[in-house]
Amino acid sequence: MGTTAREEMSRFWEKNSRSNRPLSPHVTIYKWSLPMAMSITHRGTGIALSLGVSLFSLGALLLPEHFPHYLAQVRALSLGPALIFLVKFSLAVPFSYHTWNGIRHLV
Amino acid sequence: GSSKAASLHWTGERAVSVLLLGLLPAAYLCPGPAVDYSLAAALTLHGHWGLGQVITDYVHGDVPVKVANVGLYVLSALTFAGLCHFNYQDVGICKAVAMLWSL
Repeated sequence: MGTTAREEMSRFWEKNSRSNRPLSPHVTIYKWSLPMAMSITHRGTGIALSLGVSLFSLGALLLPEHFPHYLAQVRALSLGPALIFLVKFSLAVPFSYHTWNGIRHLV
Repeated sequence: GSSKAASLHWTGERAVSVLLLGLLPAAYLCPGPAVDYSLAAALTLHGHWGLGQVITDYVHGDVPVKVANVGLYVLSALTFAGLCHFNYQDVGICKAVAMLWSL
């Protein structure tokens, strides 16, 4: 049997890290394309959403009060409708992008 | 061998993605504990696998990879625990989203 892909990859990285080669400019010089941008955005929104869920989850474990209590506190701040809309929008955008682009990947 | 495992992992990723997608209308139309716990599971697994791919792509070297993956496991376990706790002790995911959006 020959080497596995994993073995070859780790041999490559061991040799590469040892030789301390400088990193070739990539994102800085390569002309951006739409597929490239969409792909990294999909990744970025995915990471952000994941971290958001984890943060929410940790809050559920650590915070003393229940969800309605904190929601009431936010309501008591009497934030303007424009600000509330902006917050909802900024939550909805990464979620929607990731979902719709995800469907694109699935089909 | 490991390529069969990789192929199964790939299929698993697509399956969980489709399941998670289906849970979104379900959450809207039939909110409740069944959807809440399914969401907790699917969301955590989807995120765990997604972040795992990010680690595979950007983290190199035996020790950093090991450390990153252990960290990820801890994060995912805590996330799942927290979401289940929220479903059990608090209003649950579906209700929480509905309440938040009604603000």
